[in-house]
Amino acid sequence: MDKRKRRLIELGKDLLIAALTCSAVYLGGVNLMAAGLNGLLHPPDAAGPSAPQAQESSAIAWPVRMAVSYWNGDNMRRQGVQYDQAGCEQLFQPAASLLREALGSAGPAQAVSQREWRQVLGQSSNLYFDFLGDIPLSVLSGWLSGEEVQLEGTVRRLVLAARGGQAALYYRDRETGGLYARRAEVVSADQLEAAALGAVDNGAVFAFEQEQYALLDGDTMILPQQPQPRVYAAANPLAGEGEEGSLGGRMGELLSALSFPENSYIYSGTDGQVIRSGSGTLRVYSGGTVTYSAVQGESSRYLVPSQGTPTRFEAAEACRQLAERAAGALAGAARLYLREMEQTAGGWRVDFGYCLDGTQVQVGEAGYAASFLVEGGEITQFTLQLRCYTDTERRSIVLPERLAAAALEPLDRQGGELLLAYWDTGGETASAGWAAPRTGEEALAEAGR
Amino acid sequence: MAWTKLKNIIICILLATNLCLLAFTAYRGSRNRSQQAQARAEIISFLQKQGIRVDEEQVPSAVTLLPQQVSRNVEEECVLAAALLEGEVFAEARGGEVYRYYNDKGSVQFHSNGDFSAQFTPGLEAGEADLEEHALSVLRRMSFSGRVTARERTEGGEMLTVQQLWQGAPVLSCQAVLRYRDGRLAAITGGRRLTGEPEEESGSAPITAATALMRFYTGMNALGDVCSEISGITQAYAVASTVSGPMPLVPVWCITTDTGSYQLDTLTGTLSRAA
Repeated sequence: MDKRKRRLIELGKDLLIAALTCSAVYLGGVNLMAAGLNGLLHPPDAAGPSAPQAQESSAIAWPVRMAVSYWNGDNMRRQGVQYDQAGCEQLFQPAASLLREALGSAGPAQAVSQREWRQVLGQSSNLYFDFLGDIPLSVLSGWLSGEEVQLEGTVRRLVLAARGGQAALYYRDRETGGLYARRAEVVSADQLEAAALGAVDNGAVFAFEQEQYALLDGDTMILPQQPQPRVYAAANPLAGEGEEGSLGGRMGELLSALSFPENSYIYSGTDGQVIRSGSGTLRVYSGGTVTYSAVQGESSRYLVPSQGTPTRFEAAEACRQLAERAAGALAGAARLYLREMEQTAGGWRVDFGYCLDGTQVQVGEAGYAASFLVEGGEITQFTLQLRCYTDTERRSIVLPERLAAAALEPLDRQGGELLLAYWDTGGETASAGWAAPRTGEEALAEAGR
Repeated sequence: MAWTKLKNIIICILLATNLCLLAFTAYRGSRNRSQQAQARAEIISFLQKQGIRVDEEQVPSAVTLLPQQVSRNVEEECVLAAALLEGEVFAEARGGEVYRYYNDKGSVQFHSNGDFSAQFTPGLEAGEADLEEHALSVLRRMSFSGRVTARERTEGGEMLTVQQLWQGAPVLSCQAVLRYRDGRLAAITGGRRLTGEPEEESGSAPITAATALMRFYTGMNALGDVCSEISGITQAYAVASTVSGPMPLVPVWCITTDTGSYQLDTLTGTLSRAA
């Protein structure tokens, strides 16, 4: 009995020692944290407490230009944002769910007239989105919601408007040039009115609303404040990287992002390096251009995930992921946007461009940042024009829009749009200037379509 | 025996260590609280010297709400719909992540951003219950705790506005309008709710009450506004919009003055005019 009692006492002591030790460690930890030594015990997360969510697939589909318009029957109150990425994102966040729902529940397309399009823009409560590039509706809905919806049509601009008690999506199809409306089944006019109610008028107008801008494409949005675009330093992110046989630094990261293993065969070519692995060949040129080619069916490196023949969205998404990992990761202050997606004989050509603070960047003659060819369910070719942009904290001065518009007349570009653009010809800086791309109708005529 | 004595010594040392750490923790906590209280009192005094009357009792002693985030729980919505419509429901996907549930008693529709609406056929009988109690009990079926903020007569009935509460704190922009006709709940319109169970977001710490008051003052100056009295401060949650992913619930102070209402983000200290 004594022996048993002693054993119990000893067991009790052991438990007490364990409990007191845990308590001491806990109290010690509490005091350490209170003393501000928390970082030693818990390294801060890579994404801080108030940092935005990690870039998700939908960010590539965010608009670069937006307007929220509230129409009370007599007067229009419009808040427009352009050439201001942060401002546009702030305006887009509360509107994104309505756009997502409208795309997800869009009814059949009905042709509308130019007059009705302008009435929608100028005399209704609406949300106006400009995505800069030509984006298929099915791809846009997929990127915004993660759920592909089969919708025909390619748009650059979308207007979600309340007219006659209904909410509808209005757009100009970039392939046909026609104007269409699709009723948004689950978005009510009241929801749209409520979303537009908070618009703070900042003088944003469309060119067709003002006589002084008659020379411009009527859908051009003008703000009263003269833009002051930032000046960016531009550089080849791979400059000085990758001596022969070496896969260190950014070159190594790029090859890893492009799924080229460390044991790839590398040798120097006439103007850069050639990397071979399996049946795929990667060429990294000294100017920052990267090309890839493989024979269709002989490489499984860039298969497009799909349960059968890839859909348009699946192909675009596969290209987007590769573009983001390669060009996007090295782009610095720039982000990628979809320039266009064109059907080819065997699949699609998908082009992405750089965008700086809501302004497109023309890289070299081709203009794009990345161009992909999807054939037979895989990416068989791509070209990347790798550039890295850094904000220099300087601003440049451009002509006021009215003067720039007047300059269109002698250039035979009346009716053209006026857009800010950066030209990156491989130099050390990228500055913005006005560009007047031809209107869609003219471009179609030139293409003989 | 020697081992037994050694254990006794270890226990004594650990006891002493724990007592010291406990005392130190208590002292530190007490010192922090008194420092914060002193700083709060000083800021109140400073505001009063600047001509802004503020009742000390109206100022929270600390920022008690922590940042949260909410992810949509689509499976739960079906359960909530069945509870609201008092029976099994059928689901209809309307596109754009909008789901509608219905049975012979009515229908309810949920959107991804928390918007919801419901129609009842022929209507939920309020019976002997006070309409406000009935409205709150109906919403509780949807895990929507709230308080009635407005009640007005309409043609043929009444309309009640209920604001959602989360752990007792108002959730700004989350509310529902319940329309009664002839003693029956006919519809819920303009509803917005938390789309799921909020979870605390680690890594973010709110500012102190003293800092919040100071940020209010500097924020007013930055906005170019003036006031002579702070008539009320309420701790609440503001739902931040996101394009996708979980929705953040940001703890804010709703500050009412004699010249207007303001919202102070207690994570960043940013002051904005209330909508």
